Amino acid sequence: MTEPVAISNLVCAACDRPLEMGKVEATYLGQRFPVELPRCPNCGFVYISEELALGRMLKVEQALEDK
Amino acid sequence: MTGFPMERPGPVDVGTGAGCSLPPCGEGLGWGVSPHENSAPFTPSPTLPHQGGGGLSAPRTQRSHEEHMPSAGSLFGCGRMRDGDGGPLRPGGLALTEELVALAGFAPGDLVADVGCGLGATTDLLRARNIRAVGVDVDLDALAGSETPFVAADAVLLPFADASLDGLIAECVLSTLADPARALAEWRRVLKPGGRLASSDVYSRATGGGRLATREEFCRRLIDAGFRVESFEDRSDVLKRFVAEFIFACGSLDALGVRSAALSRNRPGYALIVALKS
Repeated sequence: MTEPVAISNLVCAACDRPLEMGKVEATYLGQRFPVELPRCPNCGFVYISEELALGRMLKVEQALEDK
Repeated sequence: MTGFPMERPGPVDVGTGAGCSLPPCGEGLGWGVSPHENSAPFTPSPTLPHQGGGGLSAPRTQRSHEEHMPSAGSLFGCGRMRDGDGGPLRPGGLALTEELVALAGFAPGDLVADVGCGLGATTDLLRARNIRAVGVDVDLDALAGSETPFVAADAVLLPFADASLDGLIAECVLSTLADPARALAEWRRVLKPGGRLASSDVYSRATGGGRLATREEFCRRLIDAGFRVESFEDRSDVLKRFVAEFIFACGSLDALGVRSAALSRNRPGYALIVALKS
């Protein structure tokens, strides 16, 4: 896994604006819940790090998986 | 590194690159994100650590006995922790409490005990509706300094006279107790004939054999204790959201003593239950 990237180093390629932590609503399998993630203050794109994808998001998938 | 260019959104590519972006209102392979401005993300208060689990927190009084302590491995939060909005840390939060209160039909003037009241959010909600609610919790510190009326007591040793209450509400309590049958007997004792027990709790949607009671076992316990089950409303949707929020906020369910394997085995669900003292 690559090293986590500090939010201060994240820039939106489309808007050339530094990302900021902000509230976003994540949805998964019909469940909606608020989380704080780096997002572009201009266009709203959200950055999902590999650490997050392989960590918490994967755990959520495993936890909500219906056997 | 001076910057990390974000690409225009494609499908969510979980784990194949250094990172990925999600469209602001779209969905990828199961996941999606969108702007959210209305409620605070789930952030359990670090100033209120409490690892006891369950609606009744770790006993600090001489009245509590080891066998009545909340068991580890409960899926839900505990009374002394709050979510990002300041509400109680449990599936569904106060919104589900309002549904439960409506389902129970508590009326203004009713005397209702909120067993496992934690910080008293439900007690306050009931009192705001002119219901004479009293919080009950073993944790003397939980409501210290609060104006919420409460008594420090164990769920199986309530300081109320026989047939004195119109209702009893217990959120995330029964499944944490080592002896739920004893608690139900005690709750029946303090309720008036026809008095209502309103409970929200986890149950197992598996075929049984785990620590969690199945719906049938849950209802059987109530019936055996002298209650008539009026309603058993599945609200497992809030449990899923709670699990997802908790993992995002805390990294795992470890703080609740839950492992993914246990989730898979027990297939936990969540329900609103109303039962009458028959």
